[in-house]
Amino acid sequence: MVQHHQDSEIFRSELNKKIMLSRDEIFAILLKTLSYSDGDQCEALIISNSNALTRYSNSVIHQNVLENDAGLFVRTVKGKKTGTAISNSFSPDDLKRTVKISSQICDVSEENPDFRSLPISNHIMSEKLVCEKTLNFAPIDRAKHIKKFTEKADKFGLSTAGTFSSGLYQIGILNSLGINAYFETTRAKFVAMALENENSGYASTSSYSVDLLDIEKKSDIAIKKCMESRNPVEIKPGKYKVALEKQAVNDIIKLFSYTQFGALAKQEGRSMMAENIGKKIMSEKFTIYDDGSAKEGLYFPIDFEGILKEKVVLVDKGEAKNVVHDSLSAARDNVKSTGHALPPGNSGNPYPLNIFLDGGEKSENEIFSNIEDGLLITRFHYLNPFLNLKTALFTGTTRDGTFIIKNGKISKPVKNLRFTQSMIEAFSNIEDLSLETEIFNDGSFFTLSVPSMVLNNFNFSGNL
Amino acid sequence: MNEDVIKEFHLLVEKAKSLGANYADVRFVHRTTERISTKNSDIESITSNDDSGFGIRVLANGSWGFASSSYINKNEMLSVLNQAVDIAKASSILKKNDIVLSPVEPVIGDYQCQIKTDPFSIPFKKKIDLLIDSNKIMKEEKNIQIANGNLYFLKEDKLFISSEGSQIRQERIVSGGGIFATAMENSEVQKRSYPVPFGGDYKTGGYEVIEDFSFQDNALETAKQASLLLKAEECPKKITDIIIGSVMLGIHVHETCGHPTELDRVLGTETSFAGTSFLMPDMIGSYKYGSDIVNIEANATIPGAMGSFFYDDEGVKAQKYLLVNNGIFKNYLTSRETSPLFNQKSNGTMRADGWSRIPLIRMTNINLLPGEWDFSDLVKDTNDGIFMDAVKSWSIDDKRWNFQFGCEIAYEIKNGKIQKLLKNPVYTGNTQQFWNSCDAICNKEHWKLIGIINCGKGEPGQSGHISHGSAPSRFRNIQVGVK
Repeated sequence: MVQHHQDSEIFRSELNKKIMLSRDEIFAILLKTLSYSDGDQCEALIISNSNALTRYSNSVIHQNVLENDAGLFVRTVKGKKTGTAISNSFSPDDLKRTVKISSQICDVSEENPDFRSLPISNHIMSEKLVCEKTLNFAPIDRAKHIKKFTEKADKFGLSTAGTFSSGLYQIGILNSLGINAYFETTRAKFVAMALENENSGYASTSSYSVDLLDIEKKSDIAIKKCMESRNPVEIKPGKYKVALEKQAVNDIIKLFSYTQFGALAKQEGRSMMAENIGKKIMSEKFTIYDDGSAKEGLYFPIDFEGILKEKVVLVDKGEAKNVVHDSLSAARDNVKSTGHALPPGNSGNPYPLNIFLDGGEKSENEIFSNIEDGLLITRFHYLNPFLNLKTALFTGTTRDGTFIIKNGKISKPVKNLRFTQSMIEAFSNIEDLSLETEIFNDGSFFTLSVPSMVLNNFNFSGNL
Repeated sequence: MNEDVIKEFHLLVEKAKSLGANYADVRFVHRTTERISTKNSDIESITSNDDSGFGIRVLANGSWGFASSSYINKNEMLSVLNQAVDIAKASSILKKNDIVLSPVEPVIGDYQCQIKTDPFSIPFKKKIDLLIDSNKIMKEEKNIQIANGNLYFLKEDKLFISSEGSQIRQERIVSGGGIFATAMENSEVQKRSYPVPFGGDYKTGGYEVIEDFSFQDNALETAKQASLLLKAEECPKKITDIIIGSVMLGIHVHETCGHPTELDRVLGTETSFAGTSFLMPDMIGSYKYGSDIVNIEANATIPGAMGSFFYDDEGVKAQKYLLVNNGIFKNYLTSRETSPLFNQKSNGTMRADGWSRIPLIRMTNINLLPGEWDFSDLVKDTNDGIFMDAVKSWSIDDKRWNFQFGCEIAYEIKNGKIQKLLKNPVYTGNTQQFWNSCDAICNKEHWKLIGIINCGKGEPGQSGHISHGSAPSRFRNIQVGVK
């Protein structure tokens, strides 16, 4: 029989009086939490969100949801031992209980020789990137935009699918060594897909502000791609020159960053970075960095330990340069954290969440129109990066708009293909990158800014 | 559960009607989890998580609305209800038909899964020692650079109350974990997992589940295999017969039968994200999905399996039925919303990942039923082929048709005997061709269930708990290796 600790206090304290907590309320909880700690050091982190998402397909809204949640992460430190407890219940008794559990875990834990200390700071940091309109965006607002896209697609005999999400994230961190950091941001994302029989087109737009979403343009792109994808032809698998649109580049770079640029993967010898720092392993045209403080991206200046994020150049002109660190991985390498910690309780691999891939000097139109014979890829599906992490061997399929390019122009649509390709090899074969870049956000903390890309000899391993 | 809270939830679903909803349900979910992970005999992390909240789903103006909150008090409940109704009304500006739910009899009851030992009563030290001992055994093997392991325990208390009169409380405990050996030499990296890759194996049950795994007894062999793979020959690229072991085949069933038979997916509700399905409604009863010996069931009634429950998250009783019968596609996994398409009632597959997510059609326990072969006879009967097992990479297209799977380990089969070890095996094909090429399935002595806790579906993302049962099976003329 499961015991329910909350039976006697299910209706909670005044702290639970409204859906979203203010900054002051968050810090009141964090302060109270630290006051209960018996550790040498203690860290309290709250991640709060209020997120709405409207989902549509077959030209109807079939799912429409709202979530309000806030989680408290408590990390207790005793010597070189740490223990973490998480709860989304903030009554005084629950706070005491969460701190007690983290302390008990700490007691039974063993010393981690790599652990030095929680981060130290002597200043308060409080930042936000908030759009009031996004904060107050109502279900009917999202529904009206979807309806407009659907009515436009209907005029061409197409059906629609996709999502429209909007919401607020808040992060507050307080530790016993002076870390006092807060960040709040709104997020919005519109995904448009137009469909007809077996052909489809896709486009998406994301920002911190609903006003900055390019909904009309992206709707038109999805419709155009769908119509241009009618009657696709089958082509033989093999090596092709490919023009990757920004969405397709985003799909690959997201997983590439996840598997390659965390310090732990390098320290354990699991990534391409393990033996290659300082070596030129890709094209000179490939420069990628992480910068959560960059105003031109979706600004996200602190990590989940409350450390200010540094700009970290990961690959510079094809040369493997750096990986990102949290305080534990940094101590292991005797360097300082770059501000890339994830919330406690994760696998311990710090991770770049604000990726920038440098563009080139010519427009997308120019670099694509230089292709005499190749394939244009809109988007990838079900990428898997685990075939060989050291060579970054990926597989996946194309979808929602794949075309033959002849003499710089789209000549005809092709049926989707499966590729199996080392990304180190692919990024060694970069012919060009577009000047324009676009921001992609997954609806939460992870943002990429990427250009379009032309790659030579990209390996398609099968037909679907 | 506090009776006042239950009463409040009943008042809430009644109140929904007065706000214009013609159906409402509320789910309160409280989950306690414990995760322990070790690496190279050090504790990597120990985390305890306590999570609770409620979600209200309403049908108003013929459309769905859902809102949820972790803040539980009377005012908040009313606020969330109003939000859910507003959302449903907004949804209704873009609809074709009013949603109609298939009927279900109201149920009132409390249900608990059976366990022997509450894993939360086991001292941390015992659990940590188990993993560290296993790490140490694996590290003794040459070339093992990373020896790690993890344990996971979940206590879930779930209450479902509907405006149709149901009040169902279900409690379950989940236990699981695994150990993993990564061998490295020069730039070569090879990994073996026990019992199952990517997090381990999971069951509904108590600490006895972990004891049954016998991690220490299997640690050395797991490490040896990883080490030997460093020197193994590369799996060749050719078309050949393959025998797939239960750990890999369970994942194959998941991707090529489980997901494509989810009727919400078939009807397009995952289109822009995970995709649709090649299994169209007009194929039911006639489509030759596999060879005559292929029988695949959905069975939510298997004790201890991860996809088992008493009632789904719409209050529909757990069921058992065939998805594929003698190779013919027979049924979808359905819900109260989708089953009227076939003039049927729901076959009970709607589950949500916690309180903050809506129920979706999810696989229950999707199993390839056993055949008649003994494994050794099957190997003897295979002149030229490859045995492979344990998923390493997986990818399938948006219709669930073309797949490519990589495995941790493979062995060459020559003249009816298992021969040399092969590394980096990959096989690829299309779903219908693959299942129609199945000419032998091992018997129930070799049939094994694997449980997973990370089946991703939906937006916002949800992780599903599912089991898959299968026995080693042979497939003829499969493309192995990547061209």
